[in-house]
Amino acid sequence: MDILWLSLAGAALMMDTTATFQIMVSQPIVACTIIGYLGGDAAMGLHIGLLLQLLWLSDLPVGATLVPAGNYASIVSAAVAVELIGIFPEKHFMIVLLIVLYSLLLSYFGARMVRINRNWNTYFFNKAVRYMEKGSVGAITFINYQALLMHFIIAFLLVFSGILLGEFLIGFITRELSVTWNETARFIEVALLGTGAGLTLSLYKRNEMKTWIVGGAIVALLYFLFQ
Amino acid sequence: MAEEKKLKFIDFIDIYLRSFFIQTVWNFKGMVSLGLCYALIPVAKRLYNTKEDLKAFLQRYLSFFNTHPYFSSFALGSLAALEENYANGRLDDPEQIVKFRNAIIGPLGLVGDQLFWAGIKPASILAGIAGLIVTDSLSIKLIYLALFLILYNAPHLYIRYMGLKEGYKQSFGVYKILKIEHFNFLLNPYKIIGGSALGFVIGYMLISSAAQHTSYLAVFLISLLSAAYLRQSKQMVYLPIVVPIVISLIIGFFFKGL
Repeated sequence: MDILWLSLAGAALMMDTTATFQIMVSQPIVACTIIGYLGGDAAMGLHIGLLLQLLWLSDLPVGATLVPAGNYASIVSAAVAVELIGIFPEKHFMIVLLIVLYSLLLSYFGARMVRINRNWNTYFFNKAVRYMEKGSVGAITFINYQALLMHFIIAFLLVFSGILLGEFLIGFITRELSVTWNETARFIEVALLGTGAGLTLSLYKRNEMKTWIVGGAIVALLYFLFQ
Repeated sequence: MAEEKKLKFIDFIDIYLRSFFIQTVWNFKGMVSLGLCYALIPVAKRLYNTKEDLKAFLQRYLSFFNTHPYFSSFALGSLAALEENYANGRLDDPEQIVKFRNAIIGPLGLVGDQLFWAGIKPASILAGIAGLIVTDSLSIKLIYLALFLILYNAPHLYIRYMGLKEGYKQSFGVYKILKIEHFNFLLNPYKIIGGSALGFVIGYMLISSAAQHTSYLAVFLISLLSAAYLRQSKQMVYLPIVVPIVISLIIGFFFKGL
């Protein structure tokens, strides 16, 4: 039942990515916090969202470009992480490592699903063209609602199956591997933040931005010294 | 003399709300044309009554159209004005509306992508993250999340509103506004926020990982540099993420007990 509610919430959040609103509640730092809250640990959800957020930030959805489905991957990953870290707190880093690898797979698969979904939308477009001949503006509104419903159902199925599969696979691997793997994976969080920052640098590579980046780093140093 | 057909305030509210669904039926054939058509339904309902007029209206919009979702409001405003002119006989050839609609596809996408996807979005998120990493308190973190959403959505909702208003006012002339220079008053401050916040995140992580142990500092630096190099020089998507993970595991494996 928990997975059902999480999937419904996850699907609603996923709708914000493209289909509706786009007010950025689907971004990992927000969506994962909400999923974490619903899963019983908002702080852990936010932590996972923070680790994953920067990985997808530099992928720009310009025009018809297909980018990795980072929001979908993060929502599912947060749900699985909150559940499993709650059960195996001593294997925290190992679970984060597995979650990140799983989210990379999901983001790839999710991007392919976006392409398929856009092809399916052609059905609704063709339907609207047929109604055009009748001059029915009401039908256009109705077709939009139908497409919205289809989006939600697809999003729900993706999140639901993603959480189920993730909990099964990552849960199984976590149980089987010894806790010594947790020590091996202990650098994973700092590596993810470094990776995210490195990827995001590509958005600020212009010369005039270097001053602001260095300025920000100096402020961080001062903050650290005087806090 | 026929009564002047005029769009009402409630119609603009309806168009504004419908514009949030402009990408719902994104498809490879018409892109967001069905969304555009859906958002303009209040215009059709207000201005046209006959089946022929409504059919002609739908024909003008159900062909290829693409735009940045927020900047669609400029198209919606100006198209609403042109439809009003056409319905009142001030515009003779409806083909002009179609030509205009096709002509603004490029500027709408270009300016919107530059301003929001490459400017305001990363800057707002980085500012949020800069706040999140310096505190352990969940309630303060939630405040930073709320600030991120406000920082992002204030210009987002403003552009949607301003686009509809200015588009309706300028109609054909809206293309003059659709240049990135006219949005530098928004873009430049956000660039500064984004650059500074990224510098802050990198600086803070450098110091806090060094405070843990030099091995953490080494992993952070290697991850940062390898990801930046692979993304910028090779334009790779997944490898810049996988390589630092593998390196962190190798360091973790060989340097146990640190």
